[in-house]
Parts: sequence; structure tokens; C-alpha cells
Amino acid sequence: MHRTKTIIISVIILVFVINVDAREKDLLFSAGAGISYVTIHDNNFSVMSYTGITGLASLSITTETSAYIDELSLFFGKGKLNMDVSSGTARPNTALTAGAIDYTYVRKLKNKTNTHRQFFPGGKFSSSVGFYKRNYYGDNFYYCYQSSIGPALIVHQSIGEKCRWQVSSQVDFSIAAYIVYPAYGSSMPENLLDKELSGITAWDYMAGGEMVTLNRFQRITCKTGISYALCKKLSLMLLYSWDFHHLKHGDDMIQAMHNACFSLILH
Amino acid sequence: MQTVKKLIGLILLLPAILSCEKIFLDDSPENTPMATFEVCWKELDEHYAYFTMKNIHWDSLYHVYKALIYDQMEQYELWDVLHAMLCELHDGHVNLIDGERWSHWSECNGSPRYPEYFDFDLISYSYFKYTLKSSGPLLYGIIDSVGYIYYSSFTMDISDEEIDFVINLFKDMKGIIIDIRNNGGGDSENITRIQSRIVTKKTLVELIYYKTGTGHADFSAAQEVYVSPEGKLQFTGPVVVLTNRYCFSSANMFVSRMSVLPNVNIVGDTTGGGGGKPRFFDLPNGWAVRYSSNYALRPDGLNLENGVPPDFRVTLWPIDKRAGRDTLIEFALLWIYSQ
Repeated sequence: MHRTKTIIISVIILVFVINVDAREKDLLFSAGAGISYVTIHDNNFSVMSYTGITGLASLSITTETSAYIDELSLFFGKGKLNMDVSSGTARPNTALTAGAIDYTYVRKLKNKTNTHRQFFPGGKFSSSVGFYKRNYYGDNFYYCYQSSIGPALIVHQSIGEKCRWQVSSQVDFSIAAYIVYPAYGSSMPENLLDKELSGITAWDYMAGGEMVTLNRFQRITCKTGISYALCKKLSLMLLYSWDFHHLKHGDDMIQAMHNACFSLILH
Repeated sequence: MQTVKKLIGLILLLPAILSCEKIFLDDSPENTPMATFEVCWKELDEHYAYFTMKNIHWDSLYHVYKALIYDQMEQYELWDVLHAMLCELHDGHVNLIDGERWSHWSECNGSPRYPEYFDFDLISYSYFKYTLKSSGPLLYGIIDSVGYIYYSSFTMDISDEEIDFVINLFKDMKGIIIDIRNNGGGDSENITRIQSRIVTKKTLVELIYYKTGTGHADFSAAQEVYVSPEGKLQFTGPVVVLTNRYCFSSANMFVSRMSVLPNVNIVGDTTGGGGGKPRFFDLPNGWAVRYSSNYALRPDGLNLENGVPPDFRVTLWPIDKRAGRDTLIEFALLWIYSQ
């Protein structure tokens, strides 16, 4: 537990220390909107999967230098999900609200043979929360908050003579995470079940989670985007990403999101 | 040409990418009567809270009811079998749900019937001549120098302002009668909102035990529930809570929590019970099952599931009713004046 915390803090500090060597910075602001195809399978409340299409919005700030790329991005999604079942009329109206903050830092690898293709290995810190609300007889709430850290790889591929088209791909996964989710039969995390009810604060909820590693929590994100530079100051980007979480506890929880997002990038 | 080939390749790959999480997803159970039965039985087996307390042999019931399931059965037949199985739990918080239809313990064979000992029309005419006022969901009036509040359902939320207004109005009264007869429950937040205007210091009112494993006796340590004074002022005089068998769930919990306070007496009949927090679980055929997922005790160890007995058992006498009197209210007034 302490070792994992030390590793996470060291990686974060290292990222900021390395960041100091930035010289020629190119700052990019991106804003986008799109849709997500979401699947949630949470044995906490259903043996059936819930799927649906939700809206999403994203914002990001990217710094690119000759040595590294760092990116801070925000993501917000909202929509309705339905139970995957061919019959029955007890389908509850389930609303999903999800948000995430991701920080990715990658270093450029030297590639003398192919200047059109660049590899950037590094790491990603991600913090996200999914909150879903069902209405049967009154509202039923479920949530999962997670902060995770793990390696990331970005590949940039320029296309054409003028390099106006660029394909950018990223893959990352988590190796350690801090997770907060409700215990079975309660809206509280398991660590709070024997705590005095009236004394529980929002901070207690946040502190009521647990550290988990690859054997209990798997998160993988794959992104592929194609951008076209309209001019020096403005690009358009179409991005597809797949974000997958699997939390193993008493009752497994799986969340998968296929996101398609159209963005404007200001240089 | 190369680019076009890559593009076609990518399009062909898309369905595979879109379904990649299916590798990790467990196969959902089939929509068959047997699968629905199995999921329903197992969910309750692992998470229902009262098997031990009610001494229910759930394993034996599995064999009894499984024998009634067959693949070609109609949905209404499956409903009847599952409903009969759920009846064995004798629990008002256990329901089978199909959209608008809910099965209920009161429809089960052997479900007891009790008199209400309550006639709201009699109260509102005989004591108030139909002049009861409302502060949100609370109906209130004054009988001589005693405040009367009727709260019909905990599903109707009370705001801080609404309860403060009534408590302020009754601050100089000799006592307050809180009538919750026929209150079927609702949101437990409303319990705290009322009780926090009656307590004078932080008071332990309940112990809650949560399921932590799949065994019938796997429960967490007790979670203590305290109520502290809140709002503009507290009423410290005598309070009577009027109850009957139709006070369920949050109303049952309200009575239990109020009975802990030294200035409160419970008058009427034993409450209807329903001490566990209900939870919903989806079944493979699109129905859902609701069940009690934890249990609660009064600090003295009384289990709330079977109801809270009154301090004074008082029934509505027909002779009083004919004379335009509510026996419970009359008893409450006498007790308050005697304090």
C-alpha cells in the first residue's frame, strides 16, 4: 500500500521535474463534442448489461515541444441507458453522468529512419467518475470514482508532402488505481459501514476507497484521431476512443465507452 | 490505392473494435423461466437480510419452487410461482416488479389483516371542523392547548422551513400529537427533519447492519445512527406519536427512533414493520425483484422488521367513534395534560 503510494507520488514529481526543460512550446487548445456508445455491466444491481448512446463534450490543453508532449484534458458525458433485454416492462429509466480529468506526459523517441512517424512513450494520470441513477420507486444511485496511473504510448503519423493530415494514436492502461464505489446494500463505500451515520462527510466518502492494482482493476484506453490543418492556427480533428474499466470485487463492474468526437484545435 | 485499401481495412475492423468489451463481459443469462427463477433465488440467497432472524430455510424452498418451473410456462405462470416463493419471506419490502405491476406481501395467502383504528374524516370534522391547515405535507391544528400534526406519507418531503414553522407555532403548547397512522413510509431523511426538532442533545437512535458477504449471517459491525438538534428551536414538552399496523418502512423507523426519546410516548397499535432498506435487482426477463438488504435495531436491541410495539396500546372504540371522538387522541390528550 505504502509502496504503491510512494511510486505514484514519485512518478508525478518526476513528470513535473522533466517538464522544466521545455523550450520551444507549441500550445494547442481543443474543444470538441460527440457521442458515446456506453455499456455498463454492474452485478451490484443487475445481471443484465445496460447500453445506450450518450452525448459528450471535451476540452483539452496540449503543450508540444521538440522533446515532449503533455496534455490535460477534460471530458463530460451525459445520457440515458437501457437494459439489454428483449421483453419485460420493468426497464428503469437509467441516467448516466460521467466526467474525467486526464493528464498525459510523453517523451519523444528519436526516429531517424522515418521523420513522418514519431513515437512518444510516457505515462498518464486519469481521474474519472461515473454516476448512474435508476428510477424504480424513488431514485437508486450508483457510482464509481477512480484515479489511476499507468504507462502511455502515443504515435504520430504525418500524411502527405505538406503534412496537413496527421493520424495520432494513443494507448494506455493503468497499473495502480484508487477506487471509491458503493458497498452492496448501501450507498456508502464498505469502509464507512461501521462509521457513525450522521458524521459521514463528502471527504469521508473520498477517503473510503481503496488502492487496487492490475489484478483487481483493469483500465485500458485506445484512441485514434485524424486531424487536418486548415491553416497555421486552426485544425479539425475526428477522434475515436475506447475506454474500458473492469473492477473486480464481490460483484464485478464493467464499463466500456466507445467515443466519437469532433474537435476544433487552436494553435 | 494504398490509402483506400487501408481505409477499407479500417472499416472492416470497426465492428470488431466496437464489440471488443464483449470478450470481457460475462454472458448474460438467457431469458428463460428457469434462468429468471435461478437469478431471483440466488440474488435473495446471497443478499436478503432476514433469513437467520426469520428462520427461513431458503435452500429447501429452492427445490420446492424449482419443481414448478418449466420452459414453456407463460409469464403469468412464472409470476405466480416467483410471487409464491417471495411470500415465504413475509416481508412488505419484498416485491416482484413488472413495470407498473408490483406483487405485495399483503396479497399472499396467510397474510394477516388488521383493523386501522383510524378515521381521518372523523378527526378533521370532530376536532377541527375541517379547518386543518397545511405546512407542506404536514396538516396541523390545535386541540385546546395541544398541537396536532398529521403526516400521511414520508414520500412527501418536508422542508426545514415547513417543520420549523409548525414547531414555532406550537412552542407554547402543553404538548404535541404527531399522528402517522396509515403512513406507508418513504424517505428516511424526513424522519431526521422532524426528530431533530424534538431532541435536545445528540442521541443514539438506531443501529444498522449491512450485508458484507454472501452468507446468511455475513453482516458488518453496527453503524450507529444519531440525531442531533437542528432548526430554529426544539420542542421539549411531551410528545405523543399515534400509530397503527399500517405504519410501514420509514414510518416504522420513525416510531422506533422517536420511542427512544424520554419525552415521547407511542400510543396506538404495533407498527407494520419493514426494517430493512429495500434494494432492486434486475431479472433476465426484464422484471425486477425488490428486497430488504440490511437490518436495523433499536439501541435496546428491538429488531424493527416485525414492528414497534406502542408504550400504550389503545384502539379506536366504536362507542367513541359514534360520539365523534378518536380514542387514541383522547388518550394522548389525557397523558399530555397529566405531565
